[in-house]
Amino acid sequence: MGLFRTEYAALSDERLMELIVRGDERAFGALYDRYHHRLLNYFHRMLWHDRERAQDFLQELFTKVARNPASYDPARPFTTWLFSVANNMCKNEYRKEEVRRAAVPHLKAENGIVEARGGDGVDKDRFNVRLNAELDKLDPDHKATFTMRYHEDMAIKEIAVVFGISEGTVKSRLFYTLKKLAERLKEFDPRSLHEHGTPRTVRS
Amino acid sequence: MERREQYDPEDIEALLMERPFHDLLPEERAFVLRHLSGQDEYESMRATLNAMRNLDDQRAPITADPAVRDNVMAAFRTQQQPQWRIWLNSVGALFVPKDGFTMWASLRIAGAAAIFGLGIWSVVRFNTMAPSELVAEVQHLEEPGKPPTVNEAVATETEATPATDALEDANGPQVVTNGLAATDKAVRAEDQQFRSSEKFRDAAFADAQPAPAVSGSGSLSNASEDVAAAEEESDFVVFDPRTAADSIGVVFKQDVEQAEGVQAASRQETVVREIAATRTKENKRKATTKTDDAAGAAKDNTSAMANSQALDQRLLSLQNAAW
Repeated sequence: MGLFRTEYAALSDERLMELIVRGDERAFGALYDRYHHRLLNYFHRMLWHDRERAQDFLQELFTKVARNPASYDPARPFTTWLFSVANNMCKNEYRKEEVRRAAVPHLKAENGIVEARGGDGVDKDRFNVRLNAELDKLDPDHKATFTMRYHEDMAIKEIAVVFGISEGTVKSRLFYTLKKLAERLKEFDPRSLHEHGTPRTVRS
Repeated sequence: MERREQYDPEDIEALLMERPFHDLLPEERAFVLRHLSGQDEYESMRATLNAMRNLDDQRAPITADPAVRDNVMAAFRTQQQPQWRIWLNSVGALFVPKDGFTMWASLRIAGAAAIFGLGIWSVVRFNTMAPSELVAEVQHLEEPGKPPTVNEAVATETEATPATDALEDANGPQVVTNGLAATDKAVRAEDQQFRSSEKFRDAAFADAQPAPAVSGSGSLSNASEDVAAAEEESDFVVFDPRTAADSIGVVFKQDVEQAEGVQAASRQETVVREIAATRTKENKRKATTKTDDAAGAAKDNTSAMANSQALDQRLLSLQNAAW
């Protein structure tokens, strides 16, 4: 340890992981502070907007990192590695959820379809609920790709690394997912929702 | 290369986010229309995409419970604990037998091994302990200057004379336990002081002088009286190991040497006693028969006196050697 205090916030993710492997607790805390918000929201979107479950998954993910930090390959970008772990956790949870719903059929009614109101105004909250419901119906990989791309603002290249697929496959998934959602949400006339909003720029 | 070939179906995303349908170039419109049904679908997808992203911007981000961070940090600290302890615990667990019988047998063997080890340690510890720490010890003493053997003493005597009475009780202990170390040191110092004194040397020297010639019958009682008188004349008292041991509970090497010397003298005395008893019987027999003539009696008395003096000198030399 040097004479001067290490500025952990200025260190890269990969450098923090090196320190974590050596047992640096503050580096681990800095890494948690850096990623816990993004991962919590990712789990929240992926796990049916269940906040408690998202927190549990967040804790489980960082516990895995704490117990086996050497499993991280320094040759890979840390962000993609971390999200790939999170994505695998979500896929496992999807499988478990399928088993639960198969065992208890009435759970299928939880994600009920929210019908659009007639009239001029479009309820944004209802649109949001409906959007989430439609996302939950998607294939987990497509949903994860869509969430990473449009909610976590991850680059196409990063998503490709997370899933271990080509960038073209990622773009194809995004295109068909968006096309499917637009078709299912057509009744809400989303054009009225964003006519006053400013489109964001997305990393290519 | 034509411009339209620069687009892939998935690249529509870029167009959706950047420009509405009416702002697209003719080549871009052609490309979009190859993959979408028309302008409405394009606009619907664009609206959905933007609406979704606007909703995300308006939505308040959720925050994690601080307990999550605490738990995660606790897990990290737990993981960073020394691994060798866990390894040792695992190794210990491997050696623990599963069934009760084997476990009890193992415990017994382990207990026996512990007792054996403790015994070994005690022996090693006792052997390496300093002499001053010992409560009692067995001292291996050197042989003192050998007194003349009984055969030699008897050989020089034609008629034995009993030794002094002062040596009758000289059956000192061969091995004596000493007391505490402090007492040992104090007594040794006192003894050295006494030995170094002038009086002690004078007394010892006087004791070492040959006894004066005894005028009289030269019998055993006379010799004893001479020795007692010599002791009374000097301040020095003949050392008696038994009484010394009783008084202070400590006998030193010199004392033991003296005791061994006195013991040898005691053995000699026993032989002399037997010879004296024979002589007494013979004298009684002579007295009863009244056949001894005066010349023969005088000769016998002279010879007995000479023998008594020689024996006294030898006994005194034995005493000196013992001291």
